[in-house]
Amino acid sequence: MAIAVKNLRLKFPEAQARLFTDLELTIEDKEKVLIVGPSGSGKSTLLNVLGGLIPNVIDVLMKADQLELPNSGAYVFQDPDSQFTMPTVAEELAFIMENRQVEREDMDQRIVQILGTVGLDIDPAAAIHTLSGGMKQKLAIASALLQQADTLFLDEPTSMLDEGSAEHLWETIQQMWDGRTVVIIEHRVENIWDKVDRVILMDDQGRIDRIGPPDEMLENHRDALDAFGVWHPESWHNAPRLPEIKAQSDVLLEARDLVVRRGKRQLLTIDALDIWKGEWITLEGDNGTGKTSLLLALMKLIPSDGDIQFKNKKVKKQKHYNGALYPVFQNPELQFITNTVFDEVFINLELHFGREGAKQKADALIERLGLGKVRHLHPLEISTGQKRRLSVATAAGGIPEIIILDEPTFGLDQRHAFRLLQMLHDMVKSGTTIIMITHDEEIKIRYPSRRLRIEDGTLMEGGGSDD
Amino acid sequence: MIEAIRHYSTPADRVNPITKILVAVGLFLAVVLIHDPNHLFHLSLLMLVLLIVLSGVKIRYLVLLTATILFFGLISSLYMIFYGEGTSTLLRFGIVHITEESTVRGVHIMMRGVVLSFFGALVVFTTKLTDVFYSMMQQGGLRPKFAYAFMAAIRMVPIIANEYMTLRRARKVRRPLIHRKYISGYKGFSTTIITLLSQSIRRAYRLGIAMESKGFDDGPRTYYHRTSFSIIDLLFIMLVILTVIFSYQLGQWYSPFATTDAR
Amino acid sequence: MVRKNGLTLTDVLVTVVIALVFAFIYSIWGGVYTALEPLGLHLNQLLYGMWFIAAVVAYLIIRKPGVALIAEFAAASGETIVMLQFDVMLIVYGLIQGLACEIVFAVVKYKSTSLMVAVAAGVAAALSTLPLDWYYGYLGQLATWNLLLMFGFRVLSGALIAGGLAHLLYQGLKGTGVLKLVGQKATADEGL
Repeated sequence: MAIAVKNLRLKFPEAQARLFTDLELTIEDKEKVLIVGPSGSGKSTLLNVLGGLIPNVIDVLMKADQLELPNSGAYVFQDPDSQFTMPTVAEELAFIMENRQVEREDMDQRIVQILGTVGLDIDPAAAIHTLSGGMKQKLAIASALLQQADTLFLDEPTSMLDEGSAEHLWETIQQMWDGRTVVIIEHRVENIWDKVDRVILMDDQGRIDRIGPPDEMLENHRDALDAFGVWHPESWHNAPRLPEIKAQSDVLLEARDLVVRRGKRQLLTIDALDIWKGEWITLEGDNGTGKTSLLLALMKLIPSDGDIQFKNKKVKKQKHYNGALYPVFQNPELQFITNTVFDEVFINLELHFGREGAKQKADALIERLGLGKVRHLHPLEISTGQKRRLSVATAAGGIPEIIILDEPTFGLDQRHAFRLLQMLHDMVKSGTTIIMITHDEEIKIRYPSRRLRIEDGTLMEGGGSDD
Repeated sequence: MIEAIRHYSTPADRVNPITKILVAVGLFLAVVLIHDPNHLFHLSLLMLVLLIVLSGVKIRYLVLLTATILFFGLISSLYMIFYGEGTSTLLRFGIVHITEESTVRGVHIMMRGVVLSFFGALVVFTTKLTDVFYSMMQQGGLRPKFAYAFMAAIRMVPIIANEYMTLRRARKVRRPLIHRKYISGYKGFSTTIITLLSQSIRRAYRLGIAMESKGFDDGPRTYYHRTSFSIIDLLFIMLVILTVIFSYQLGQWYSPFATTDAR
Repeated sequence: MVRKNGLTLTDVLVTVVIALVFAFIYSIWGGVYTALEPLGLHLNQLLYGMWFIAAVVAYLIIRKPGVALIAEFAAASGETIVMLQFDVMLIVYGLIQGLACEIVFAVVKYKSTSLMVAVAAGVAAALSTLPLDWYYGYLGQLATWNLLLMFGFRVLSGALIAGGLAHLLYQGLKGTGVLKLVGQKATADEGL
């Protein structure tokens, strides 16, 4: 047995209630376990206990009747930006060996060797910030391997990656996980579900709801998985079926001879792009092809050459749109400016609908996006999924005519993702145009009225075969 | 980034960063104690020569840098030129009273800044930031937790810059929809800083945990980059001392300023 | 449970990051400081408190000995890091200002987060470098009214920016919930 926990309970400072009640869990040596559950279920906290971060590193009061933990554990976290210490790949890997007091003479060879193990074909002197998200997470895995841990704790390692990179990362992980115990938390489980030995479902109260082999969980306990809004390989069977909406006949946005640059490099050239009222457009393309840059250029947030017209009026500056074109960025927290969730939605409506009207509308939006419980909290205090929903709520008041969304379903659980899609559908129905970047194949084939894709530095109609 | 504008490496690259910092502090003290503008004049020139020879940076960048340093040096000494005490008036205009003495003093203050800026630039061009912290740990006895906290935090600067750019864009877009009061003046300023700080603190907290999960414990460790003192350090110290002395001699030989005491 | 009373890695990391955020902001808005200089009327001194605001904010958040000094050192080296300019004078000044703050915080035993403490630290830091400026900038040879102007602006700025503004930002940060993660924590030993 690698891990055994009996009657675990803990309490965060400043928290009212304790987390976990009678939590009991055993994980066998070399077992691969996947933990799923709604946000707030304490998955990450549990992982931190199992790897000994709580209470050794994170100051939390904790007790358990029995607590058997692995001798050595290593983590891979979700955010590449907050798990590296040093500027370059070699220095980062060396950091771990320095901690373990590996002799300097042995370091170079081990760096090369470990990069080979995880299939990272890069110069060790490369700066980490030049790597793609997928490469960064491979580096994180290489770091974990260098710790020579018998147990790996993976805390949503693919949540910031696009579909292709995520799939590739899971392949890499599987290649090296024999002989190790692996405990995984993950939202997006389609690549890993049937590869693990057991799936643990946690409820929203910090209890283990049920445990079982993956196929059995899927066969016998799908209701429970769905009830907690957790993604599973057959989630999309529950996806809302939405009739396609025909776009209306008025052109909203016309771009001609658009040239978008990144630095001095010409990134994209587009001869003509028309966007109609009531369209639901998805924008596809590999990482780094310039999807986000294109949208920023259309919004006039970065300089570009060419001609953009909105409702037959030339747009030269962002403010010429006068709020009719509204983006929801990938980092929602950077869009917030007020101190409560409610105000954040309210102020976008206030000028247009008046105080009372805005208040009612804001309340309705907040309820619809499942933010009622957190309406008085600070927008920076709520969970990542809630932040994302809040940023959609600020866009959804009916004033913007075109809403631009960058990966809106990223990090949302099944329930909220489906609700969001339903809501986008309703908005399109009432005449709003939606342009969204998404990597999710299931969304691309189900919902948009038009698919655009960036390939070879230009924009094409129709979806790509695969990302 | 710096490597891109250099065209050769120099012996100054091999000087221990601690030596460079200590020499900089010594130079600062020396400059405060020098009151002879002629001395300082030649010291500025010699420092420029050292910068050109020892930095290995392409000359057009150095020209640009020198112009900037001179410009900012001048405006930071204007208070003395305009309002310093003195008897031989050159110009009087309202409250402004420029005298010969105050001008010399102002230029003297400016040259102090220029000397330090030239030397500072030399240090920046020839020193890797990580080496500063590695040598502070190995030769300076700095506890690893301070050194690595600094190095890890430095990694976040581009991230902070990126977040700021996105934040600015996001506000630009919201501006037409919302009342001015939410976004302009102090309100806009403070929410910008609070958002950036809040994001960065959260990230720093997570990074701290990640670092400790990777076995970092402020105890004994080995070092990937080894730094040491060598004969080069001694030569570098001698070079700067000789430069200070030699510039004094030059000041005796050629004196562009009539006075030898700026006070 | 291990209670760590000294500075933990995370404490230092958070302190340095706070200082670097301010250094970054300073690097974009610092042009204002320079733009105010040419008149020679020391209007730039009204922003002087921006140089050591990081020390006060970091102290209010973490409340441990050494934080203000580290924050000031980081803020001063921040110019090197953010703008690639190494200015030894800034670092010497930063250390002196950090020490001045530390003394004020030590007097209140690193407990109080009141506005008065922040203001006192701001004023102390503002005054701490005057002796050095006196020698470096020949302040003794300046017209008296001009000197008093500089002195007054600087103290005012220390009180308003490094004291008052720092405290407001601290309150604002508290509202975002992020401070639950860091600094001296209230003990929660009961309830298990």
